[in-house]
Amino acid sequence: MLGDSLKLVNNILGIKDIAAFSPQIQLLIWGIAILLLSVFVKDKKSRMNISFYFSLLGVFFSGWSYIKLLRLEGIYDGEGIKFFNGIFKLDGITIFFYGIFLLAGLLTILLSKRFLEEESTFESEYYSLLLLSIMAMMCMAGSNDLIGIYISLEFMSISIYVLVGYLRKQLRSTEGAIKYFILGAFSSGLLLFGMSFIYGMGGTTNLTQLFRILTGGKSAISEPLLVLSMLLILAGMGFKVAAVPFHMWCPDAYEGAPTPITAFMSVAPKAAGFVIFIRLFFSLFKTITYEYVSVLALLSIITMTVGNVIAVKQTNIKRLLAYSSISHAGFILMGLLARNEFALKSIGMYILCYLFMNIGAFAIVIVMRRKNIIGEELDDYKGLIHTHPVMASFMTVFLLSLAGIPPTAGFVAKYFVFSTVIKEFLKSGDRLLLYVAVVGAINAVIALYYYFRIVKRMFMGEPTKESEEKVAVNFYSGLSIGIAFFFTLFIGVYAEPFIRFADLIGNSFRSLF
Amino acid sequence: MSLYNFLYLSSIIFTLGVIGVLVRRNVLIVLMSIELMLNAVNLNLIVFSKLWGNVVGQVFTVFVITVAAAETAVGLAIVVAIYRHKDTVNIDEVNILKW
Repeated sequence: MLGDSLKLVNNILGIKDIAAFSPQIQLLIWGIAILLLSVFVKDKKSRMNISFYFSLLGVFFSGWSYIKLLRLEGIYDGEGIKFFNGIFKLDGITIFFYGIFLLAGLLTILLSKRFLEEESTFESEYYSLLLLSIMAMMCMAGSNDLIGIYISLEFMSISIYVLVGYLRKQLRSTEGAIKYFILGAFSSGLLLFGMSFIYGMGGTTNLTQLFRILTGGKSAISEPLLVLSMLLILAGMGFKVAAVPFHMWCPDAYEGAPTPITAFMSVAPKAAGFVIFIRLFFSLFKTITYEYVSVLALLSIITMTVGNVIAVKQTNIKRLLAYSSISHAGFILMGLLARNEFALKSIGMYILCYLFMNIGAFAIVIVMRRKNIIGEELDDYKGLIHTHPVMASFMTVFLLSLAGIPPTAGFVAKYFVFSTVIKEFLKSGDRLLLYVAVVGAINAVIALYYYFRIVKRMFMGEPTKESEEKVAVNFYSGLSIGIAFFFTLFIGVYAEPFIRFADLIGNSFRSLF
Repeated sequence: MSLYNFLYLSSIIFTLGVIGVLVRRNVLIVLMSIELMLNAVNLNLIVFSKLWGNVVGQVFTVFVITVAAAETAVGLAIVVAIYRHKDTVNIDEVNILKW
């Protein structure tokens, strides 16, 4: 009797399943350890330092478990391995995005130390919530069940609502948080309503089974209802990745949040949103391709255009980068139009390149914060090449990359996305895809204009008296900028190993079904 | 009582919630409207669970209720922080960030 029940428990929650979760468990343990630390270490200064090292250790150990997971058999053969009764799936997509989230987390933690010292506010929750949100995103990447997707999505969002409002003494941080919170909660309501209809049509929440039922050609599946639930889920996820017209929270939350969190938010939750896009839209809505392509093409076109056009008028650099990140979301949505292996690969490649260049650009903004200057207005960058030549040239490379100029990572990213759309156009002959590519190309030019407004100020402007004050770059933020800079150039010059890394996600296309 | 009656009801509740979020300006009422949306979802899930004769939908409902509670807790904390700054819970008056 006892043996039977033990066996049952072992079947449901085997040691194998725990092993699959080891990167998340590491992050959870260190995140809680940081919280407990605030009880034992009373001195603020040392608590700040210890929490910082603890969070680095957390990411380090999690990365170590991640590397051990890479050697697990059966991940790469297309199907992936299922854990926890099929709720969680470990395949190329999961593995790829684990890497993205850990890298984004590492760079953000490295950047946070100096920022927190400069702002002189510190609560232990900062690092703890950062680790927990990375953990939630990792769970999201592997979720193969509507319930799992919803829980991890909310876990991530709630952690980030708090992080946005972290500087609670400043009104703009709190204001960013309340706007992000209300629209975030609203969007998860929409998402859930769509999910409830999917469950109603399929009778299960497991994505693999749902795919079989929804595309099995049964007459019981009503097409209008399927389209309705697709639209609801698209709206819900559109909020999370900040696609126009669901982008209203984005610039406010980005401007209000502490800058390292802005850097983190512009990359990691967006990437996590796109994993859900991939998991849901590539498989479940296979039967309504026409509706899917037209809605997504429209969304992609207006996201790119509105993001870029509003960015032209911005004078605050965080807001400018926020609108630029909206337009980048439009480019990634472009990759989602074709639902094949190459499209998956191009999305992976875009997110990988975007991670380095965007965090790099925000890192410079963080470093530019000095005693007398906040360093967020465009005019603070006047004549930067005379006062801080290294910073100015690094910033130029990041901006060139964001604009997509050849010897940088941004070019490789854009190349893959555009070729996905053109290839799909040649295959299916759908004119809409061609229009999307043309609008994308026009937008790349508009983007060039506002990125070069910053470059022009840095190179041609005269430095003001205040901006002569030297920037103190500490070792950790220097390391973070160095990593971002190195990869931004390296991917642009020699993309081969990274394309092979992105093949991981392309090859597991079959595991989506 | 057919299945459709329940679905009509949940759709009406959901729509009322959406209108509430878009129209009302008091943060607390906006939070209540979001709760209304989530409850429409719960009703939907339970109806479908009954229809299919499995418990997955009800399990989902329990998770939705739990997460909604956690979310509201965080939301109210942010509202308190706003109130300390501005002495108001009206979101139209919280507007230093524009465009």
